[in-house]
Amino acid sequence: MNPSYLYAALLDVLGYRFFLERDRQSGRLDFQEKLSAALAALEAVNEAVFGVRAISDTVILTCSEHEHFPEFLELLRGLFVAFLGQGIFIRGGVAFAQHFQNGRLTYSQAIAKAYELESKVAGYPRIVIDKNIVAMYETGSGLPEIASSGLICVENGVYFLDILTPSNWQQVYSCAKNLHVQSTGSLLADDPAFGKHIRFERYLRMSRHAPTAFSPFIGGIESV
Amino acid sequence: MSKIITMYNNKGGVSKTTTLFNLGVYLAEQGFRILFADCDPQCNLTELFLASNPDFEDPDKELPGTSIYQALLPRFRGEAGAIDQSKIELIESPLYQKTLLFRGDIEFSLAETYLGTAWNQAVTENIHEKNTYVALYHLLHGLGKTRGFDYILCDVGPSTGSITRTVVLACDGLFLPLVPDRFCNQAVRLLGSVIHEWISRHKQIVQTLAPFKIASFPGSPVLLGAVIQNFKVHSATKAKQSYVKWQERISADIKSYLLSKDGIAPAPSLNPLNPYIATIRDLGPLAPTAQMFGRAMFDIDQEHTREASTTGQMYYGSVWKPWVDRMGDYKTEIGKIASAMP
Repeated sequence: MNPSYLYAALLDVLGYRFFLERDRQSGRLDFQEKLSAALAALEAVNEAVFGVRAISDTVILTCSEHEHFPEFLELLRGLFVAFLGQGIFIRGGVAFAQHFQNGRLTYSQAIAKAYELESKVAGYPRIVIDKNIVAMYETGSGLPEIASSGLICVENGVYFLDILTPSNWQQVYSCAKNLHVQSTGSLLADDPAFGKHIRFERYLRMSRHAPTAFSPFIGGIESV
Repeated sequence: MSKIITMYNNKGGVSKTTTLFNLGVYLAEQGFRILFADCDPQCNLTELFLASNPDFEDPDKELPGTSIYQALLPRFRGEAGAIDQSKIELIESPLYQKTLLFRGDIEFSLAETYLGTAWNQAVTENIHEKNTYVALYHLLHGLGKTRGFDYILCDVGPSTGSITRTVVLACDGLFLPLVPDRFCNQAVRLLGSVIHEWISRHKQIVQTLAPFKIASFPGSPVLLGAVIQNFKVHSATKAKQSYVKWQERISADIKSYLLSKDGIAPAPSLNPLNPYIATIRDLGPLAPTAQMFGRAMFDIDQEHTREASTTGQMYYGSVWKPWVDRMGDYKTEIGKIASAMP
């Protein structure tokens, strides 16, 4: 059987090993419960169109039809917010390419590309959309309208899912703030991890849905 | 629907451009609307087409119309998904009705890189390269459809590079001009496998276009026939033995190589055992005279012979008559090529 083309999103749960170790040390299953709660956002998905697999720190979602791509992005948006609601950042990539799955075998150029976007391009908690998908929607015929959907934004040539809406901005802000406050201890002297929070806060601040008076929750640089 | 046709041989000096131009003028005389597309960065077709207009003898004079490179550049640069062909200005022939030119451009040689990359990358999910890969075909067909051309005749260079490859694959059919010699024989042996490889690769690429909602194209040109060029004769009609020998060898190789299952498909009307549809004799001074005035080889006026004579006098009587005969013979052969058009 030849591979077919589909959209694949690969999402990485950031801090997975840290949370796992914390459960191990405490003898509790807090992280498992948070993961389950976040993934509950996928319970009602149409499995005829969307595929979901969660293994370890990775969640892979697929969408097999162009007409459902906007819905797929909405699904990812909901999942991102659900994870954040549980105090977990995720980072991902979305690509459209060949994919084959049969029993134990998964052969997927789409997942490989999505992984590449997640690991090499995303940088901070966001879901990067392959520029070829955007180009396809700009030039292809018979595809749903996504340019005006407000689902994709771009900065410095990198397209990514805009998870913010007028109705969820405040909620996402509060979750990100809580996560930052809770992480303050673990972020200390860990600049790469700290940088992810800074970039996400900047994303909140730069959003067209942000209120005029933005209150930063990450402190500035101090004199010694 | 307009048909896109080329004269192709990767061996140079086989009168591709001249024959294509004369074929176009002949077809226009028959009532067909013709677009010449100069896809060869050498621009010989453009030079020939414009030679009838003395305004363009000045090398600094800017040429009219949109060049094929100017038209494709927005796609190469990724500024446009497809080419807006409504903005393309074509050049009308000052001499021949119903013939227009999509002019060439020396800078079109830069397209080798763009089209070469597209050729390699179009099979991947890279939308830019996919769009570049299909751009020329859709551009030419768009022009044919919206401007009512019956035939688009593409001139290509004698190479197997990416420009030539892209043009040949955009065509519905190709004629193979040949000179009966050793190297044309070798070219015939090579061409079948080269074009077959192009068509095979095209089929792979096509499979990756539909999922991305990119309109594809057939990419399966057929051989419309071989044209023997520059045929020299001893006496009135007897061919030189060396030409006969090479013609026979080439005939065998067209069947064994070019039209084999690993070659190119023949047009339904083509007899693989006798693929020659026209035999064009060496035209002596007619060719440079016609080229000088941008005229078809069968359309030289007596006054044009001033340029061919050493005294500057027009040819008359027994000197002019062979020209008239040769023009007649030539037109007959061009007519045979026209008959093989799809």
